[in-house]
Amino acid sequence: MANILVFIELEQADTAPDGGDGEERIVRARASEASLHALWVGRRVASQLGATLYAMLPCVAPPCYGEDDIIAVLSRHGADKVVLTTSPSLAPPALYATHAEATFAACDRFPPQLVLFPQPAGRELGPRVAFKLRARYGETELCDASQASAPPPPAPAADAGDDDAETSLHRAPGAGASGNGADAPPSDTTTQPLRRSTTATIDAPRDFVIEHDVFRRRFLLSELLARPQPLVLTLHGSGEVQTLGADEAEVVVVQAPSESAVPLSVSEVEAPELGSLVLAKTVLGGGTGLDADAFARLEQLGAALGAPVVASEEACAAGHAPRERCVGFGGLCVDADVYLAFGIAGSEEHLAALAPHTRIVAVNSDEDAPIFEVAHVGIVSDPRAVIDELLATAAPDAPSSAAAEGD
Amino acid sequence: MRVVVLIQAPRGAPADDEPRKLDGLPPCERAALALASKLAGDEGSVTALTAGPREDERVFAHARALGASRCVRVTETAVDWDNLDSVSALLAQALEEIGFDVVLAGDRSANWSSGMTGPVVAHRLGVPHLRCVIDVEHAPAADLPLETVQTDDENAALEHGRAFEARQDTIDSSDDDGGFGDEEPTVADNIALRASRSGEHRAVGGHDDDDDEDDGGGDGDALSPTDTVADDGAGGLAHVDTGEQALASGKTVASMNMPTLPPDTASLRQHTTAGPPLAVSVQHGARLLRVTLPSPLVLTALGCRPYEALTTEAAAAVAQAEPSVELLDLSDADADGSATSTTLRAPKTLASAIADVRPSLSRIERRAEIVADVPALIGKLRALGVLGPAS
Repeated sequence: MANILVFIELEQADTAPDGGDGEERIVRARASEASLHALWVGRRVASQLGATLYAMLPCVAPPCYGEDDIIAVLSRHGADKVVLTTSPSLAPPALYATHAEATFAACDRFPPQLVLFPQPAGRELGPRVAFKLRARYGETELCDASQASAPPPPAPAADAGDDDAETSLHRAPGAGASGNGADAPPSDTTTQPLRRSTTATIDAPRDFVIEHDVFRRRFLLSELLARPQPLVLTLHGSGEVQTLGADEAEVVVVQAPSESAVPLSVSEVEAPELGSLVLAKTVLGGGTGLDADAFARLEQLGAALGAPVVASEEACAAGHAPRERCVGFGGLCVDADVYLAFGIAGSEEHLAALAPHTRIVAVNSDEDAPIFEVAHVGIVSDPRAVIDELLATAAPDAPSSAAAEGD
Repeated sequence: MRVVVLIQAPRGAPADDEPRKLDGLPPCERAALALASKLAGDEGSVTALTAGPREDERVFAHARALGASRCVRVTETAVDWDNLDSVSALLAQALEEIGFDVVLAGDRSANWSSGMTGPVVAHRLGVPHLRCVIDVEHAPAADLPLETVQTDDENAALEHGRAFEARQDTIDSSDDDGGFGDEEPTVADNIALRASRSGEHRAVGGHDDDDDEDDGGGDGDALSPTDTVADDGAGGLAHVDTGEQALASGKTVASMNMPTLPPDTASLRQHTTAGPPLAVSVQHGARLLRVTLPSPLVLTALGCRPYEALTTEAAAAVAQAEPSVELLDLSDADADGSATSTTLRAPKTLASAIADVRPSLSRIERRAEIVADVPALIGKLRALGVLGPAS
């Protein structure tokens, strides 16, 4: 019954003239990894709820047809239907000023119960789409309830809804698993049962868990979806992606919105002077658990990993690191995918400067350090020794690593 | 250039549901202030704006030290300050009152929310926004592709209609000879072909069932809304008689810059006049983009870059500054109560959703997966892509 929309963000796509007049163009589009992950997450939620999964595909021009055209890829990754919107303004990157109208149009056409955005499009579009839908919004991760690091509480009094979902999950192929009466399954009997049975038998978890970083709370997706307000989520990064085999989703062309009235030009800049922290995927941080010597080796590790090195307020105050490397209030924030924290206890001011999507790997000799409460991976060990061992792995030929290990 | 910076008193994760106040200025808001000073230059003004009850005026001291020439606090007694809905409405109204060319905010306020304040205020103001802003500067007007902007809606729609018809022609002719000629067929062609082969000529999703939902807005109906290319045969797409519809939609679209909002979330004013253009550097995933677009704008800054540090003198000033804060009381100006009325409903964040779903909540006591030794840690780092695969 419900609709689930997944925004598909395209990587930079080639356009090619299609036909002699040179005006009609087609596009060779490729979905980003994060989009396919979001689609896979959406597929599992849809299978669990018996919802229809729409892949929102904003494109400058109709995508070209080929062996692995974007429609086939999206179908294979779980889309029931592909909502294609074409407009010259829909070139990647997905920004609010360019892609909002197409997204709103898709949401108007298929009022969703859940909208999933990949990063980085979701940051731009998610909040205002949520506003427009009067939806709840979060930038988070969806985990299987069964795989969450601690067992979730039993859902109280929500069993009626769950049973319902389960029934639709195991509904017979062709019996309208999508539940949308207006969109009866097409008569193409060769592909239809395959898709229905494939999606119906995927290992859909019973429920999903949303973890809220700040509140250190987790709650169940079914609880949120049981409410009348829709939910808009921007998923962190990329992750698991699975395909369901050959498949053909229906394509729905939603009318291209009028060209964006915001005059805008976008170019990609390579601006190293803007600071390596801006685009870093990994950032290393050092705290008071490190001395000046260990900081020097952390710098070596950073060089080996291509990761910039930052420090906690306390380490800067102790003079182990320059003041402009300070992460925290009055300093920098970290927006990387992974933050390796060596000897950082995790003051609130420091942790608040880390992006919600940053995965923290904590190395600290104090097992009660608050950083272990928010880290994804931790090791209770002397951070200096761990730096040396990582350095030996990452840069085995570095001459100074042997000297460092002599300490 | 009038620059307004939205400042929130930083708060930390709640201990027993009571948010803790944090000391200092979060990095993103600090970056917003740095960019604001840069943008305003000598002739412009930088106003620090906050909404909420009088708590800690030290954020304003920081703001002054970082270049804000004016500090304004919006007061309103009947507002739930933790509710983005009412706060964003109030901020938007205050911004209209103060006047602005650019609004800057922190991309995330101390990890408290999901960074919604900037975009939602932008939505209420009816201006575009950009997130993850690293840098911003004035841009020459020549950088804007103006000619593509002024496309007449009717012409655009007609062109689009022609494009559809042209494609339909291609499909028809290719059906005849069973091939696609030299050019690669589009997916649309392919779909049409699949449909015709299976003998199933069915429009996916009817035209009629969305008429009621249509808000008549920027996503208007110049073309029939859901023409699938698999529409039935000859008549299918030929009915794209766009002239009249385009005119109808042109009435609603042409007068504004941004997508139409439903009436109950309508912005206070549609900013139809484009101001001086700005070149904004934004982080977009793994890339850095330079987006040039006209003000007015809402930008949320990401504090990933070392901006000018607080000088010793300025820091000393912060320590003892008693900033003069103007109080802006909108409760009188707002005769019809629209800014705070319940019809303006912003989305709830997950944070506020917590209150609703308390029964199912479980507190995460310790989330880190503790590994036993460094080789295990190295394995984790390889899985995270920090370290390359083992050689």
